[in-house]
Order: sequence, then C-alpha cells, then structure tokens
Amino acid sequence: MSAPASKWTLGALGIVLLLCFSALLASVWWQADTTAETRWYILVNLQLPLAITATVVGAALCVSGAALQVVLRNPLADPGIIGIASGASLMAALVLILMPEWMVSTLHYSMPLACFAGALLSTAVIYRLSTRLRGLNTAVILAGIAITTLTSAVMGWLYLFADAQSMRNLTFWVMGSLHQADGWILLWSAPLIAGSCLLIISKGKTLNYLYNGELTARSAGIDPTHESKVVLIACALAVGAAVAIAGSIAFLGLLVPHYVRLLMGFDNRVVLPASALCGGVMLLLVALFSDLLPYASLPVSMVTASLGGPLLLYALLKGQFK
Amino acid sequence: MNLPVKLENISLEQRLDNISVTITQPGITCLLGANGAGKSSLLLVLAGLIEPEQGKVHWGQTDVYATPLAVLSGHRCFVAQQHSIQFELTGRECLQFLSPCLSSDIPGELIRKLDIADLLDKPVSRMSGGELQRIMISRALLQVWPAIKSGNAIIVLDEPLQGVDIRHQTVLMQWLSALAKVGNQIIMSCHDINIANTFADTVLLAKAGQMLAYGPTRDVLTLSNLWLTFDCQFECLFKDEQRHFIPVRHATGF
Repeated sequence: MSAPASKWTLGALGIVLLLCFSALLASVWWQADTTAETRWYILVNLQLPLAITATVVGAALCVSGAALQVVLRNPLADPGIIGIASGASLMAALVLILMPEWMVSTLHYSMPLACFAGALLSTAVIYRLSTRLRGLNTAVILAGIAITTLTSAVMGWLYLFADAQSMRNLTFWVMGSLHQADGWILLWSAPLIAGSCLLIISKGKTLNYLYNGELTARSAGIDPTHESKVVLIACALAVGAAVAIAGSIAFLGLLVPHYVRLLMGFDNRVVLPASALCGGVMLLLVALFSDLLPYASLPVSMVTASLGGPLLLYALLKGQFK
Repeated sequence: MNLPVKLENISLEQRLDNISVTITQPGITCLLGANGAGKSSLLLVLAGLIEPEQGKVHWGQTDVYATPLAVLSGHRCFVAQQHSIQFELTGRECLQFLSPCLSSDIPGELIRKLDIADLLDKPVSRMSGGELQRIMISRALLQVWPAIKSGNAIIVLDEPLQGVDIRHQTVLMQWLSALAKVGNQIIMSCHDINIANTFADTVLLAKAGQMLAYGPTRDVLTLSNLWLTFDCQFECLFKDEQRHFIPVRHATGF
C-alpha cells in the first residue's frame, strides 16, 4: 500500500473508532424508562469507563500482538498464546486469593502491579527461550503453551481453595470482561497503555529491519537485542495493564494484525497503528453488541474466541500462516 | 579509493584462531576453505557484526568495534549465508524495509544487473533459493548504494553464489569486478575455486579457524595450497593462458 493510501486508511480507521466510541456512549439514550439524570450517571460512571477500557485494551493487545510477531519472528505469536496474558492473569489471581483482608483497600494499586510483574516475568521467560532456541520457530509457541498450561494448573488449584466471591473474581480474569474497570484503575492503566502503545508504534521502522532476523538488522545499523528488549518490555507493560483492567482476552492480538497485514501489507509503520485502531474498534463493537443484548453482559473472551477460532482455522487452511 | 581492512590477532570461540591479515588493495577478495574452516565467522568479524574475543578490526583508522553500528552501516553491507523470512513479504518489500537509505525508487542498474524486475512483486515464500539470494544481495547493495557509487563501500558477502544459476553468477561476478575497479572493497566466501581464480584479485585460504595463505590469486591458488586447504587433489588445465582447476577423482572416493 502506498504512503498516501496508508495515511487515508489510518485516518478512516480513526474515524471509525471515534464513531464506535460515540455509539457506545450514545447507547444510553436507547434505554427506555430512564430519566435524564440516570442517563448521565450511567454515561459517566458506566459507559465512559467501558468505552475507554474497550479502546485501550483492544489497542494494547493488537499492537502488542503485531510487535511480538515480528520480534519473536513468529506470525502465530500473540500475548495470549505465548503466555504473557496468562502470566499476568495468574499474578492477579494470586493477589486476589492470597491478599490479606487488611490490604484489600490497596487493590487498585497492587492489582496492576501484580499484572505487570506477571506479564514481565512471562515475557522474560519467552525472550530467554526464543534467544536460546534460535532458529526453532515453533519453540516460542510451545514455550507459551507450556506457560499457559502451567498457569491454568495453578489457577485450577486456586479455585479449590477460593471462596465464592474469589471464584467469581477469578472467572473474570479467565473469561475477560470490559465491565469491571472503574475510573481509578483506568487512571493508572490507560495512560500506561497509551504510552506503551505509542512507544511500540514509534518502533515501526526499526521492526521492519527485524523481518530477516538479527544479522540483517545489525548489518543495517540496528542493535536488534536492545530494540527487541525495549519493544518486549513495552508489550509486557501494555498487556499487563490490559489484563489488570479487562482480564484475559483471547485471539485478538493474533487475528487483528494478521488481517491488517493481509489488507495493508507488511510495513510496520502502518501495521502497528492500524492494528491498534482495529483492535479498539473490535472491542468497542463487542461492547456495543453486548450492550444491545437484553440479558447479562457477555464475557469478551467468549465473543473473541467464537470469532477468532473459525478465522484462525480459515487462515491456517488457506496457508496464510507458514 | 578505499581503506585497508586490517585484522589483528583475531580469535573467536574456537572458530577463529589468532588470524592477522591486512586487505589493502580495493578489489575482490575470496575466502576459500572447507566446511567449518571459519570463513563465515571471519566475514562476520571483519564486517563488525560479531565482536571477537581477542584482537582488533580496523577499516583504515576506524576501530570497528568502537564505532556505532549505524555509522558502519553507511558504507558496509553484509549478505548472510541463510535467510529466514517468516512473513509473506514481496521482493520489493524486502528491499524497502531492510535498506535504511532507500528514499526513492530502486536503482535501475541494480534491477538489471541482478535481474530482479520479475521478483519485486513475488512473495518470498514462492521464490527459489537463488531468487531469494539475488533479492538479498540487492538489499545489501541498496543499503550502501551511495557509497558504492562513490567507490567507498565495503561489501561483505557470505557465499553469495549459493543457489544462483550459472548465468546470474557470471553477470553478478562481472558486475562486482566492475564495482571493485572503481574502489569498492568486496570480500566474499565461495566454494567455487574457478570463480575465485577468474574474478578474485586476492585469495585467503582458511583451514580449521586458521589462515593458511593470503595474497594475489595467482600466487595463492596453487595445487599444493589447494591440497593443504581441502585435503583434495586438483589438476590444473590451461586454456588461453587461463588456469582451470579440476578435482582429481580419487580411486576410492573422498
């Protein structure tokens, strides 16, 4: 895609994102039998956090997925598949279950911190494995599956010891939800996600050099080790913050960048911002869809996995993943 | 015009053992040696891509490992022996994304000499080994294109002819000879002794991480040196005063 066409497409995606964001806020006015005062209350306290959560979480997961695929040189890398999100979820679950009662008031601060720690830890493990098993392209995915299996096992054990309320909270981390975030936790997480995403997007040109591995990048004047570490830490922060506010959301970080590349080419200067915008749009649509349903809100992972599973199978069958 | 590439007492992880050599004249220098002789490691070290455990590399007065990679990349390019692109990039995308200095169109001379016009819109997954190799050589040359034009480039190629058919091999080597004549330094490894004999100005023979011989092609490519390097006997045929090396078939095989 040519440079002017890319700019127009990114501009159009930005407008679509704004429209979806506005539609989600405006959906308050579709609800019958509510007073104007109630509508304003819902708008400020429920819909606005929901819209911000959907936008930043979608952007964080998709931009991280797009960057991880290049840095780990594996088109199947995704924060969920390679275990970053599950590392963050596990730490969140441990905090929920093991935190003494007198510390519950610190949950707003301790939860994002725990998620970052979990995400950073699993990212470090994945990075070490990917550098040690250089050339084994499937090793990263297998390592991610191992981490995810291990965290699932620990979560399973936690379920055994959890009380009823903790079990409900744990389910939120496993299934993902856009409705849990409140203003306080968003105040911490949204700027962090925005900063991390902007940092990753600013590395678009550098990531282009990594397409043919470290040697070509070094030859072109890039320090791939340093740049990979910067991008991985930014991804871990973005994913950690996303998990802190919305739990674990499957498939989004794999599929959105894949289809963005299919439609817009491989230039990371375009792929990264387009993935961020499309990710935001996708989760806003999920939130909007969920709002329109007359009964309880849908777990996000259920929707993304229902869409993502068949699309992934289709992409595999068409040979779009090597 | 070009500066000497000077290696002093280079040692690297049991792959290179105390190698010292100064490549002074601009031209084509060919590294020859058996598999595992240390050719690729030597090329990586002199290109400034793997810091040796011991020893120094200088390009003229420039201490290579004390200079930022971004500075070196302005006039040194490198083509690796293997390429692994996991995404469906086209030839054009490979050139555009992996070459920092590409600001406008791909130079027509590069497209013609490497015959890549038909490869620009072809995905790498559908290219043959030789086609991908030609794209990656183009990428490397594009990276230092202004330096090549001013005769200032150091072009390091690790087995660039691997997978490339004989016609493209000949055209490429003739073009590299022409680039060398205007002052560019071309240092490459290959397994074809006759290519080295025909096109190289100097030859470096390597064995088990050590340098056996370095000097003008005619002086270094001798039957005794080839025997020492490859543990394989050759005979030398003359045609139009040009030497041709042919391996002698051993009665019991090698």
